[in-house]
Amino acid sequence: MLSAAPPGRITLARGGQAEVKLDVRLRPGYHVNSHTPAEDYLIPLRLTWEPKPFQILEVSYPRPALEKYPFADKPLSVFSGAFAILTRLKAPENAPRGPGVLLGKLRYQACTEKLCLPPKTLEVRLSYEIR
Amino acid sequence: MFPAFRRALGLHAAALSLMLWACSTGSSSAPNSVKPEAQRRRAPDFALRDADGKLVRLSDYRGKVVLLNFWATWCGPCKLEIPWFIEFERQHKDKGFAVLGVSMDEDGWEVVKPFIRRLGVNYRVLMGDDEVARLYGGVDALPTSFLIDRQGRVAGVHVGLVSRRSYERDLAQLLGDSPDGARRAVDSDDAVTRAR
Repeated sequence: MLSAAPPGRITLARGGQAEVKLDVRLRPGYHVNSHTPAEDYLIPLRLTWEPKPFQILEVSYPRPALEKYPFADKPLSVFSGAFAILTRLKAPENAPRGPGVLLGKLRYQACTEKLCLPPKTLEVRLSYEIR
Repeated sequence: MFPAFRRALGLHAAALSLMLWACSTGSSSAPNSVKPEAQRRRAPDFALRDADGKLVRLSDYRGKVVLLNFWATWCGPCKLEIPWFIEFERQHKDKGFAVLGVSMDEDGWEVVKPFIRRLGVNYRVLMGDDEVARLYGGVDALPTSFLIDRQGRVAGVHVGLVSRRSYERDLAQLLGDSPDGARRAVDSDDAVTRAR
């Protein structure tokens, strides 16, 4: 339903910053609620990262589309097709040097015009090296 | 609430299994979904708790037409159907009809109770689990509704949102059965069971 290409490996110095791009693709006919759904009962798209060793400065999502569906009175804030989520992170001055893998979780809930699937969490792995 | 393997399989496997299950019961999500009696199979019985903590069995409803609706609070198409079901319950409850909602919310009553209160749900809602979902073919795609006849057999299945008119047509057909006739059929089934 939803797939995410593993983000490219990053290398950064202690105190340095990097931007990570997560390319996401949805199967045609499906949408996920955006990170800012139009209704409070809808489950938002959310990318989270484990807290160490980086400081997560910002996770930014693309501009959602406002789409009208037969089951909702007003347009819903959604993503469909292919899109990217950007994460800006910083290696603290005292971060341990060396390679590692940062784990992230992409939580989403997908629907078509007529049905919905249960919320799911996709694990994301980011390879890095701190110098 | 949903088994991990189901999550991994995604909709297509789930929908396929549900469709196969539906076909094996002689039912489909086509507009005319009520199948001839000879093609109907017994609806699996289950026991789930309602919002008051009372244990409710499907078999408690034998002799009634039941609209068994699997849904969740995060499901937009499910939310559209709920006012229809409220109306069906109000219109037909005196004719031996009941809606049974089965919530598949992972967060349980904490999210479901305020939701059904806000929507004014007048029918019984139960908290679903993996076992009841398995009994009914997986039920990964929501909404999924089973139409159960007075003899406790699955007469039709709707996977995903269908029109209100489709439900009305199905219910008119199922409620057209004479309750006396249905009672006789139930008694006859029981007699057969006792004889075995």
